[in-house]
Amino acid sequence: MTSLARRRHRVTRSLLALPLGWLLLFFVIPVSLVVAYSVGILATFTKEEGVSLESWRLFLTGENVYMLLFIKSFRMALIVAVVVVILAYPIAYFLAMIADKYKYSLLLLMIAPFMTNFFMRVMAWKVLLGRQGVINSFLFWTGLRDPSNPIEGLAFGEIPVMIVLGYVWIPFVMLPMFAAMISMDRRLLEAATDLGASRWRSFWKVTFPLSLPGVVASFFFVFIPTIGEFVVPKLVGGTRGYMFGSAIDDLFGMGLDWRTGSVLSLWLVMAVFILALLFMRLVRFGRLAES
Amino acid sequence: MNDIATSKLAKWVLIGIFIVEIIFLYAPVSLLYIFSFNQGSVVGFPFSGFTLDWYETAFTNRGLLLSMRTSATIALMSSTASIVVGLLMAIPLARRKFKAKTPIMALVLSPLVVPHLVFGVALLITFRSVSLVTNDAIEFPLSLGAVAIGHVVVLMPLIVLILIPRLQRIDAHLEEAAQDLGASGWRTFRTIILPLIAPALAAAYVISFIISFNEYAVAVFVSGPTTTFPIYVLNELQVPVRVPQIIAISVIVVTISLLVVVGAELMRRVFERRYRVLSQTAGLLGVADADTE
Repeated sequence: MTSLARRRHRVTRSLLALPLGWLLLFFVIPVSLVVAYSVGILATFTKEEGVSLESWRLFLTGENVYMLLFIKSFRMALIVAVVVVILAYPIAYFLAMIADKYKYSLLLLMIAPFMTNFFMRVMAWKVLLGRQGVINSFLFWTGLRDPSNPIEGLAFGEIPVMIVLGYVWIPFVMLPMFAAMISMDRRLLEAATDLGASRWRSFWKVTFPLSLPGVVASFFFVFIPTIGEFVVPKLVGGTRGYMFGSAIDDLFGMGLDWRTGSVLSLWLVMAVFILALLFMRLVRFGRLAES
Repeated sequence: MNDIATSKLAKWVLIGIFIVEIIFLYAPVSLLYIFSFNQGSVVGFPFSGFTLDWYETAFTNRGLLLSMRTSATIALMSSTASIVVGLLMAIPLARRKFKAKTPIMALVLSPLVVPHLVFGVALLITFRSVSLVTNDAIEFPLSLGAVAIGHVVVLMPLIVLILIPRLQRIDAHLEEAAQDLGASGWRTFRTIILPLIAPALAAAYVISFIISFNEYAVAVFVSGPTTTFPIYVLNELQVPVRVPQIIAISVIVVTISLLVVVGAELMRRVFERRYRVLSQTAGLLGVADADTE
């Protein structure tokens, strides 16, 4: 038996070698190189000065514009994530608790068209928005609005960026919440009723707290890609919709300043991690308070 | 179930919300379908007549077709490679006990919390540094292969997440029975595990292919002179006269992937229903065998 166990151990190790090696080479090392780059240990352009924390200092003290840009993007991502989670919660609840035997078909109806192409969804809005876009041209055509006076808010800026990002994520966001509700122990609800709780009280005291881990997961599902977004601002943002991700894209893409770009990239990852830890704490405390 | 789900009022309100959101989700995409047949080169009201010209223009556009072929090649390479590494990873994580399990799981899932943009620039720096450090002796060409390498990292955690629950559902007795009867580890895998997870593997492959085909953020940094489909589309969208043919091609791509996704889901359900019966009977037999020994 021990020899079998030992053999299994060896097999396990050799199975894991390839995937772990891949992750090490093409994920762990690249991310570490960004760290090295941000402090000048590594430099691909000769003009970049030596090893120092200067780029970090410039960013953290707000001497360049990027900290302000980060705060703006953080705020936008926060609004998008919260609104989208609020919009998706009733859908997840409906599918998990009410739709009954139709739940998986309706779920597919909701997700299938959107699993396909991120661009398609963004493009649809690119065409809808804009001064001469579908919405405005429809209003001109039907005479509801004068062609000299389009709805400016639809053209470029923060609002279109947030609408599009929200649209892109709604179908997926409900998945973690749906999963949390589906795996919930229904007997708890029966117990609540037996003990005389009203429907609302059962919902707030049982269903809602049990769905919270799903809510948190959903929130990050939207928040992580949104705060690093640079495609949507490029298409519908204009100058006012410029985000933190757009800055990283430009710093690298145009080869302007990879070192500052590295600092911003790491900051983005750190922000996401810190927020994730914070939320996990909150959820755990929430559970403790419940019990 | 005795919370608000049982109240009539809440039920109708929720059905209402569901319908409204479904309309909100489908309306913009449906408009693209309509406008792909509109004659005018400006996408907007009023309609100026029906045409199939945009489809024809799209299908004779060499650059567009080439970019689609490039993306299909990348998707084929990266989804095949990531299915292999994903499976190698998922089997021990799902079916073996070992000390380093938790940290390894964390490492595998960590690409999920790193924005694609950041991962893209990290790969760019890495590939550039390789040629720099080795004085161009080893030059890592930014190309199709570089994009595929990046996509494997992006896809691996998703595949692991799809496969682990399926692998855990397989009765451990089946494996033990096979080994007691003298089957090698490889044979056990090939004849027991593989058939049981085949539907999940197929689903994971389809999803990986579609994600890779449409991935932009990583590709744009490491593709070098190669133009993938999303990169091509994004560039062309900045040119207003090109927009209608891009709409036409997207309508086709979306329709195809929609059919594939729905088809794969239906197939998976049919297969799983059949295999569940199979694995249950096999499970009973396995236990019976172990008992008689």
